[in-house]
Amino acid sequence: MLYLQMIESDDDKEKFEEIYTRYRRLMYFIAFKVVQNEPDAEDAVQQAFVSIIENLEKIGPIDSPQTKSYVAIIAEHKAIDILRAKKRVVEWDDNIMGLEVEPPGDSGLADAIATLPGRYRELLLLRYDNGYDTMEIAKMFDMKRGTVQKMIWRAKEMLSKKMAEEGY
Amino acid sequence: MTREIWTDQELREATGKVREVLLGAVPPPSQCLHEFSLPFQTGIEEMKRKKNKHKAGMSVLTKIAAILLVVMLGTGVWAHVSPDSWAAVQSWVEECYENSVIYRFLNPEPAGMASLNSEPVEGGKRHIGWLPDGYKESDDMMWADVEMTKYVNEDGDAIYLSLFSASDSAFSSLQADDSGTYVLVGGIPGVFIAGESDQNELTWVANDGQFGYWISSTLPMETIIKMAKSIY
Repeated sequence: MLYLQMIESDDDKEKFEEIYTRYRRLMYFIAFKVVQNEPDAEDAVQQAFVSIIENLEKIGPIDSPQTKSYVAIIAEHKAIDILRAKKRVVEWDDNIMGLEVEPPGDSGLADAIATLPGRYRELLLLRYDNGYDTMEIAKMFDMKRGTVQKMIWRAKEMLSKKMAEEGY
Repeated sequence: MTREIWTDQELREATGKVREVLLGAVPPPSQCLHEFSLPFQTGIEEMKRKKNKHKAGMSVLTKIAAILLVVMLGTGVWAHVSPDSWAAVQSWVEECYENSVIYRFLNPEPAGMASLNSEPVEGGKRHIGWLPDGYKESDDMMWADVEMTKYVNEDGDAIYLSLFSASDSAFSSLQADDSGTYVLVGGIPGVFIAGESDQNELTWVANDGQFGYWISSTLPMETIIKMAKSIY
């Protein structure tokens, strides 16, 4: 059995401090957009930092678009978690939209992904834009892999349906 | 039945466009103004202190784990399991985190064990040979390097089978309300996670680490193991 500490080295500590200093307010901005009140937004940001600490080794250059996107996604995800808890959302009836993302305008797959509920959009961005695998995503979201699997099926079904409806 | 509607490249390009729009819609970090409350700042500081304290105790915890291993062997908990199977159990390493435990398959070829079950199957696809009454295959798709198959019954209950070809994919995670155990499938140990109110799942890897699967379902452990044993 191997016990892992979250911040393993001075380098990691420095990395965490840099992410914290650079992105905490951005993360708050995003969380607030979802939960619409200060205490819950701060809770979401704090929970997001727990997840970030646990996944520090998987985070690339701090100022890269992928890292900025990653912290934004985690903040949104934790904010949606808080909303779900308050609304007692049933796991597989999870259609909270989260951040409103304008369709990029490709009249295709990107537009369909942009309009997915936050949970599913986050999953696809982490997998394909950030390159994380299923298990890494499960760990980031505090989910079992089976749960992530089910979300993948649902994301696929929702995308297919959206694209058929829009005639893409 | 639909297989891989979009390629990875198409999905990468599409999600890249979505990321650009997403980040374009939020102000730059320097313009996000918010003064965090004292409880928030205290919480973050506590988080950092707690983790550094945890680090100091790591070597002690590792030693305790080693002692427990000896006790288990000494008390014959695994007496009914072959030495080879026990060796394979040690290929699974448990990583303990704040809210979860990750089981990771690390040693692809335990000493003294022959490679089993990793030979390619004709046609490249594997199936569950035995399914509980009423279930049938409904859909399949590729997700990165994982091939996923879904089986459903008339009530909409689902069984998910995911096949992967590299040991890098061999993980299983245990959340706060779950319990985990090692189970044998064809004499080779896998990790079974019993979900408190969600899915149960079984993760299994062939001895050489080149092929594995996980099955998730709300069905009980015995049923999932029976399905696992029938995979061909």
